[in-house]
Amino acid sequence: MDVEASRLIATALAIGLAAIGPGIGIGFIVSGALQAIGRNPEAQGTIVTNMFIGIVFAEALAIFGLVIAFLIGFGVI
Amino acid sequence: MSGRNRIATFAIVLIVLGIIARIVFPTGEPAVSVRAEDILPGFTNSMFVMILVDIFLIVIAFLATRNMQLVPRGLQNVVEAVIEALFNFFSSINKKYTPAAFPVLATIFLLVIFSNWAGLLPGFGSIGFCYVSEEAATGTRLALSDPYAGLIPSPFAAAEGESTYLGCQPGESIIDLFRAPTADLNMTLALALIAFVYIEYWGFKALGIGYLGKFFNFKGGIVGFIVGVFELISEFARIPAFMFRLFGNIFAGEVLLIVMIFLLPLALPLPFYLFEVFIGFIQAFVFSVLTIAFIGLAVEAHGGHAEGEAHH
Repeated sequence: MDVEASRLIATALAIGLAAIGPGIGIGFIVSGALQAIGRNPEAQGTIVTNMFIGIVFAEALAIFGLVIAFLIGFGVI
Repeated sequence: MSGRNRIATFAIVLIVLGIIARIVFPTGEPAVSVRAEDILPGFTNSMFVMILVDIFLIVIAFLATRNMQLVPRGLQNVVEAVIEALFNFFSSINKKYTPAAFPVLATIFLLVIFSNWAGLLPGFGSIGFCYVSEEAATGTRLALSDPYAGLIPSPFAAAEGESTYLGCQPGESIIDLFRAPTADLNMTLALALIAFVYIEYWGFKALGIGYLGKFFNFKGGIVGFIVGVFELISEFARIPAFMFRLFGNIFAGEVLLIVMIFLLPLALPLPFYLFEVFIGFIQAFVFSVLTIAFIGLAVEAHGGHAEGEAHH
């Protein structure tokens, strides 16, 4: 396997594997937020705000993977 | 004609136009650069746009406060509404420290949001200078950032004439004149360091030298010491987290848009543009919210003491 081929595989693996955990995490976050809104619709504003903050924390992990994928893919590292 | 039919017609027209544009304006592979390119020696395109964004914000602030009225009208009204909404929102997260920290927080928010949105303006990634690069000259790769580059005469390519491609010629690369400032790691690193130093400043200001006791804890035995070390690591991990979160989101959005334009112009990128407007807002929002939230954590006295028990 030459360097270019392994680079392509590494790029795909970096973002693919990095997306698994955050995907599950965001699912949990939104599920919890929707249940909370269902129980207490008046608190929707605060819940949605906090939900987005939580989503961003989980999403940051996938973004790290994406940055690494870009760095590998464009040959920076 | 019902609303749904109108939307379907609009989408079909866009798709047909996109296919026509794809045939009429031939393009090569999309060219993406991770780092910001120099437009002048030592002066990158992201620095250039950064200065433009700064000028925009300063001019808006100047115009809004030039002739202040007790009952605001026009621009002053808009700016006041934005600032007040921001202030109320930060207050809902941390009531005590928002008044003192608000200038920095609002500056971060406004700077980041306009930097993010600047990258969505037309011309970003399509206007630039052509140059012959070794990479492009040796390969078959045609460097043209997007199909619309052909519509805008490139300052160098137009002079040479006899072009089959309306933008850069085959064998030439494009250096973009504009680039979103937050799609440059230097800018996000600088912002992350500013936020980090500011958070630590508040920690030292509220707790004095005792703030270091959070990280170098010799009183709590071996467990307390290890917890302190973990605190220290997670404190410094915020810098790359801040840096990569912002850079990754904005740069990934740029790449996403370029790839979508490359696949099918007009119709496909449209929903993603909307999505990127939302992402730009969310990232600016999260950057400033995390700063105030971390300030709130930093000024708290060491947990596990009597006062710490009260809200656990």
